[in-house]
Amino acid sequence: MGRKKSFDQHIVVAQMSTVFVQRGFEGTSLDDLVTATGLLRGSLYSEFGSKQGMFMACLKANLKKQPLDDVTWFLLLVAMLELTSNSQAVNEIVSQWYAKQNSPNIATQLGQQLLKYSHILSGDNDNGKRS
Amino acid sequence: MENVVNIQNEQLVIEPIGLTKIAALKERIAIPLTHVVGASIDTGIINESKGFRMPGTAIPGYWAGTFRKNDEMTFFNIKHTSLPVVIQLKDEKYTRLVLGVDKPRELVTLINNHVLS
Repeated sequence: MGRKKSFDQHIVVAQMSTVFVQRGFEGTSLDDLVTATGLLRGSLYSEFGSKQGMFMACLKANLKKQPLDDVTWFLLLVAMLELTSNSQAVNEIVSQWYAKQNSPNIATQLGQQLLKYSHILSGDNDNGKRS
Repeated sequence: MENVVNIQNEQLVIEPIGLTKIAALKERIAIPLTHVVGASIDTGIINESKGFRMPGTAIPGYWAGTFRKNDEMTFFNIKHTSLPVVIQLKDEKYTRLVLGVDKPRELVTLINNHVLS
């Protein structure tokens, strides 16, 4: 485990995003985030305040920088499955994202991303249908 | 349960109870909500080195009192059997609090819904 006192927040957010996507919100422990970032637990708390603060930083950064990337979709799915029902702050982020979606197919897109996230499909490019 | 934690009058109020009240050497801690940054469940924090104990107790499996590590002061009041709630503070004597409470997940949600935006 590293003991860096200064760090590049963009890199740390990308490292944490990968963990949240792989393990979900509840399934991610602070130990997982400490291991993935190489930072001290205290540094993570000082920078982001809480595990939810860490997740929100990941969600906001990905929505801003790469709104169509799989990581962003998967973080949205994790947020909707685990957080929006009881976290007002995460609910607000996801609600604002949803309100901005112009596509009439947003529910279909979410469904397709859920199928991709679930790893139940034989391939990545079969549009949700088994061949 | 080692602590009763409530939000009253825009303050987070922590009351160590029972024997832990004696061991933790604290009657009550009141923190303005504006100084509370967030709350988390963090099982691993009690397995980490806690640093130097200032006043406090050394009963195995039970941490109570003030610990200093990396220029940070942390107030612990928790048994190893409890699910730790970590509350991050700013502009306070303590950088963070590590507490055992009756309903940890509910407390984390309550605090975060008051302080996160």
